[in-house]
Amino acid sequence: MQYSKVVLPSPIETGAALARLLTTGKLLSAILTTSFHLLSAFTLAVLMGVIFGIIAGIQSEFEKTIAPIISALQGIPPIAWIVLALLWFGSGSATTIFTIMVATLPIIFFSTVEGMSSLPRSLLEMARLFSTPTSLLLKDLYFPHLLSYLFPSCAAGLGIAWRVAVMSELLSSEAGIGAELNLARINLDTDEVMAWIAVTIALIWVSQYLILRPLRHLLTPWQRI
Amino acid sequence: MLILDRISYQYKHRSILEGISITLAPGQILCLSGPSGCGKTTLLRIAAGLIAPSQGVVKNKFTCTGYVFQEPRLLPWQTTQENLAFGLKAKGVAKKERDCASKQLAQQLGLEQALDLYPDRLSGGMQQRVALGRALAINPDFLLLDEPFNGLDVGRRREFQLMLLQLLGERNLAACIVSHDLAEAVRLGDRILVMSPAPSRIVYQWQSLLPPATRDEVYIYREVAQILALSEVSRCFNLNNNSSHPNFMRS
Repeated sequence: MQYSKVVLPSPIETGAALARLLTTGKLLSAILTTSFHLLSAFTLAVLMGVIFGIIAGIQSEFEKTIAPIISALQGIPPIAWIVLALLWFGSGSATTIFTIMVATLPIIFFSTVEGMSSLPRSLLEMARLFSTPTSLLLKDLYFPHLLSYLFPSCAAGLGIAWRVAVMSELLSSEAGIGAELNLARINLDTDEVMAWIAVTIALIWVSQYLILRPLRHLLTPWQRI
Repeated sequence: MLILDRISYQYKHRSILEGISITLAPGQILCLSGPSGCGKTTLLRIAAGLIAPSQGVVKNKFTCTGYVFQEPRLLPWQTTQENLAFGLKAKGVAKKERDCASKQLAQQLGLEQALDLYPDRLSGGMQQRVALGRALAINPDFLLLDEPFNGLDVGRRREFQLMLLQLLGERNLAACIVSHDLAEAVRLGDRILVMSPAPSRIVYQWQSLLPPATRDEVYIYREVAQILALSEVSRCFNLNNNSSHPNFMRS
């Protein structure tokens, strides 16, 4: 039984579409655009999530105020954020960056709060006996402990970020993998759609295994097996 | 000099310590002994200033106090060298000086080969030696040790005890050691205070007539037997009631 190329292209046809995208330069340009959206948004999400999370971990009053708000943000579906962002920022990079950031911020924030509050009291007591200054407490106790919590949540966050990036670009941007995917859909180029899906999966793998994992080994050498 | 004057401590309306007075002179080794759960660690924590007594006064006139916890409490993300130097870092000592001090301590504690290892790569005995080194690094004149030999086999325990005695002697440190093992207390202490079960009081005080280096096994076990023969001590360790549970030994 054979399906039409429009319904389900074969791997060979998908490969050919991928080669076409590569030679026309579309592939590199889209990858660069989406990576820029993703990196800007994810960096912002990590920075904000970690800063707010650290403050919430130290100040329980701040945690009580901000945690329900971030919880509510987490409950809003990314598609709703895209609609709001389109109204606020119009179509373009800002909408995509905002949507990715707001979709990944809660996961980073909550893991930071968890990391801050789960530092063993026994270690804090030990540090107290040496009259450890707060700056050193943060640098030598909280921060390394936090890293072991942050990496798994960053891995999960990155997976979400790629998916949201493609979705957001599809609906709101004229550049990037999502926008190219949308164009291929309009032109009924299913082989090209498949090629873009394959590219997205490859990028998720690259970010997880070639960037995040080596970074984890570098920054948390005590966790090496 | 450490003075604990009529220390009492209540926790959740339960009396843990009652009217305990202790004086510890510089260079002296004091062992706190008693049954598990009698409040030895609580008393040590009060002496260290980690918790405040409900009643009584703590006067710690030593200039620098070190503390070795029952469990090593090493930072899992720091190497042996960094863990050894943690107290110095907290005091703002420069890295070069810290490295020099930690290497010297590692040599004294037999940890030269482990300087670059993380705690999870060290044995229990090595971890405890790092914890001792960390406490010694800040050059204390008074050391508090809470059952520091827990979880070590008999050989490692003896080795660690001798090392501790040597280090305390070399530096002329005063020490307060918590131990529920009377033989260990007789081996290490110039003085032993036996505490009763909670609400804990001091029921017996033992003073050594020999310096630690000259105490052999015969002396230690004879002294332990004599201490345990005292009714107030044997009552503390619940030794008088053994005859009421003969089923453990029968059949």
